[in-house]
Amino acid sequence: MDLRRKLTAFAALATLAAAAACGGSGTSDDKSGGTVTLSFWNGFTGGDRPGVEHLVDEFNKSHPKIHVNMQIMPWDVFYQKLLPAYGAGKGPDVTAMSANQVAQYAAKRVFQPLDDAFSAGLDKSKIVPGALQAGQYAGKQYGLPANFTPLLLYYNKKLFKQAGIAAPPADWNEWIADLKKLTKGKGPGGKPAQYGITMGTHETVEGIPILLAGQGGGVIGDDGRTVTLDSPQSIQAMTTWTNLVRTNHVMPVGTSGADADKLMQSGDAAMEINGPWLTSSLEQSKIDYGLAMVPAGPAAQTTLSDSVQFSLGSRATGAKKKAAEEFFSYWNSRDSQIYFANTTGFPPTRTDVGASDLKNPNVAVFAKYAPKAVPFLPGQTKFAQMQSEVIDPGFEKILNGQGDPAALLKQSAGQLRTLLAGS
Amino acid sequence: MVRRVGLYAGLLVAVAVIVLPVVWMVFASVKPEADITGNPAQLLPEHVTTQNYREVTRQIPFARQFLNSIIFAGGVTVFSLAFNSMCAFALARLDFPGRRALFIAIILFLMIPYQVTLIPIYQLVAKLGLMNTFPGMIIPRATNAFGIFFLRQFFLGIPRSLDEAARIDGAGDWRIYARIILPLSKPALLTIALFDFMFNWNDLLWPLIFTTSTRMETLPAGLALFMGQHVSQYGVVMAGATLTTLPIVIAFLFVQRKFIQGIATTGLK
Amino acid sequence: MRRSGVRARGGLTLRARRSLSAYGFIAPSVIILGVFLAWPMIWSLRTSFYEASQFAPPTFVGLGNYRKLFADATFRGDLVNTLVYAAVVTPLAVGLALVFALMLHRRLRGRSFFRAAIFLPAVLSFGVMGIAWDFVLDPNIGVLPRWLQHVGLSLGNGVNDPNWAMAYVMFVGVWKNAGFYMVMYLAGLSTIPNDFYEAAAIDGAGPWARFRHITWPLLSNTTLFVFVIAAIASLQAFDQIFVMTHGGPFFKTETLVYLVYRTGFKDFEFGYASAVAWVLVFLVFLISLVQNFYFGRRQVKY
Repeated sequence: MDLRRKLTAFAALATLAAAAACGGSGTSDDKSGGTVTLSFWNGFTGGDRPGVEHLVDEFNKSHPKIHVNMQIMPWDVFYQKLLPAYGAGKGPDVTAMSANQVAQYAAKRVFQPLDDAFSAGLDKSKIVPGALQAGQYAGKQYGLPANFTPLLLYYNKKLFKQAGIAAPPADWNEWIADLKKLTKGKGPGGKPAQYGITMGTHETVEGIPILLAGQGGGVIGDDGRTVTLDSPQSIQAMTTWTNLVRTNHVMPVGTSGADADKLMQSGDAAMEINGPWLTSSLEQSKIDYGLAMVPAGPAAQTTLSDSVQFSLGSRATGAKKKAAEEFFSYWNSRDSQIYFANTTGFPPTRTDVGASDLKNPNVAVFAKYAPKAVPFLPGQTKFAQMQSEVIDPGFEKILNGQGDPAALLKQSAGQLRTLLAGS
Repeated sequence: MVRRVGLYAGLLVAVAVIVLPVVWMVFASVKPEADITGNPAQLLPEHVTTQNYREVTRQIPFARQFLNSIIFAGGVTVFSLAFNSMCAFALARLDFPGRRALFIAIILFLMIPYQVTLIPIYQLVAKLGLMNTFPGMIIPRATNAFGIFFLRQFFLGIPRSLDEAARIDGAGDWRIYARIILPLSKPALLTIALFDFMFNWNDLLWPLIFTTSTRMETLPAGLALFMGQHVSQYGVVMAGATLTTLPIVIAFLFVQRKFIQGIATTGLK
Repeated sequence: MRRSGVRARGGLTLRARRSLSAYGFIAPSVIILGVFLAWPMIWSLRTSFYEASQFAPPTFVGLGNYRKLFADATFRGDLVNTLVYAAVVTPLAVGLALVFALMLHRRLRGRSFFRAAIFLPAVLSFGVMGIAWDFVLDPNIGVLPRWLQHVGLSLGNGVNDPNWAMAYVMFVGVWKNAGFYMVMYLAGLSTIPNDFYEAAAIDGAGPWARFRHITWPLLSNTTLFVFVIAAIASLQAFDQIFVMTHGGPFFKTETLVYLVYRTGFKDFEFGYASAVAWVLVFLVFLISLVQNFYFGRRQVKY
């Protein structure tokens, strides 16, 4: 048999197929007939996708002169694609990304300030203040909210009832007592079969800084320059919670966000601090849950927020900029936000949506506490490094009992100061 | 007899460990989501459903993405099979200035992690105007150091006396390559074809980096849509993964039949 | 082979004609590799001497990145992790592959099934298998820890356990690749002429002697290849770390390639990332030179 001839025929066929296939999908990036095309990349996979797709479709239908060309991909692919694309000047016009990442790109001048959007129709006074704060860098608005939510306390009603607890804890004293009551049984490797609480400590939104803030501590102060991670309050809070974890085993150590959710979904953890995405998962797993504000600490009752923000590439000017501003205004309009809240479970980014507009009572709870939530380290240009190299590993070291909490916090604080000095 | 039993016992234990997550995947694909997350310690499905499979085909353009995957992975496989075997043949059998240097370069190419070459390759593809096209996805991978290296080693194992005899009969290099080396290398060619196909079939990052149109997306990109940042539809992901894997498993079952128990030397003459 | 100098038709020496023919064979590969691999490699080598974020013109820093790297405790830790990982996973994966190949080369009931089962991990994407392993191995609710609990065994705190995480990552690395290497060995075994064994059987050689004197030496080409590939693959370990541990807990499973990814794509320090990559390239090159030298002397020629 003549393998070579076969191969040649194969190759010819493949070339033809490839040529035919790409003939059909030629790029039509720019305007045709006065239409402005906005390329828009984001990572709204999973449960976020249907709501986002619907809003973009509606926008395209109601704005014949603008076409938003959206590509959804997993977040890690998104970030890996953004770097070479913007580096080669081929990045998208509009992106949506975690608010924490915006400053890093803004500082590299990849994005442009969006303050003009406010004069172009977006009513600043109607947007949740934290949602605006999360997108600010160097005094300017580089991000506008695609979503914004507080992190709240989920609790498993069935497990609470079994333990004879009537209501979710209101303050730390109750919380700690409840945690001890709810941690019990013998699971694999001598660990508890049921945990009082679970909280992801990497690859997720931060939970531990909420605890530090409850005691009056924190990670970096409101000025964005002063490290408070090794303040006496932070050390005190960390010591208290490390004891609860190491001695009373109220929380599994070192879980990722996804693993923490799984524990809550399987009914093996009684509480979790998380955002609204968990509601649909818990409903699917048939967990009877309740939602409450994070219990009040000795110094404050506060929680952190999580937000995805729109940004505009610095090359998008003129008509593209106008079109993008229109898109952002549309997205944050009252009608859009009511729709968004009712399909995705995220609270509206606006303050003028009442509980009566929201079909889901859980969304109303998130909306109620949205004004109380503060963004985590907004405007930090080295956020990625701070989180993955200092803060998360530091907390996990402490919770794994790798040293004295105070000493390890001091060490992490020192590293943060070095990073701050260089940014 | 005792040895046989021992052999089977060893194989069965090894296989049980190896396929555990695969079994989990297949079972999860027929479980309702509530059973996957609500009762994770249970391996066997209690209620069997085809819901997840229906969701896969309902929510993503499965047929279109399947076709795209075939074009991308198939294109890469066909080209690299031809080019790699040619280059490997030259390295194994022909004498030319620069042969040693080329071989060292190929070993060196294996060592650079793709993370640092992704950016310059992106720039090249963009400059060549191949962004968002199948050639842009296929050409950079139309040959690879791994395949050349593998085939070269294999070709070296084919007795030289065979091509020398043909040469005496007046056969040229192309004839020897096509009539002697390739037919004798069928197991190796099929193996490397399978690897190339499989690798590109599963690749999520590469096709997504070089396309900006959802119409060009391949199956892994479609499946990734079910894996959210916080929440994943595990059952649907596993159903999609099972469907995606099936063609390769079938291809493997076909290919492995070629690893016959030794070649009969009479066939070589 | 005839020496050069003999004039052939067309005025070219035979040697030149043969070279020309060889260049025809290598041309497509050389062009593509040159453009899409050699040039990017040179680009990254050059970048390693710059401070480069991709978003601004790079600034030349000479050996600055390399100096910074050797002073960086995280880099040193990752280097050790990478070497330990490679030293454990390479021989384990190759050894297992050889054992499986020898078992499944012979006639055996259910051979296709066993081969397919062992090869399966190589077929599946890590994105999906990461999820599956996560469910199976979850230290609190996973299938395996729950089963092992009944027999009194514990797997620690799973991939979140600083003492165990690396073992998990190594296990999954072997799991993923052993079947892949087995197939290469099977392809290699299929080229060994049967009559060698027939002759040995006549001489009364036992199974060990047959392996020692026929199979092993005749597999040396395959073994060289599999070892080099396995060593390179384990020195570039990334995928399962990316999906299972993200390098954690606190860098316990972070490898050099993960560091390249993290510093390049997350911190925008591409110059630094390139320098790390080139240290890795140098390391791998050194190892394969040693391997090549060792195996090269023992290569079998017919």
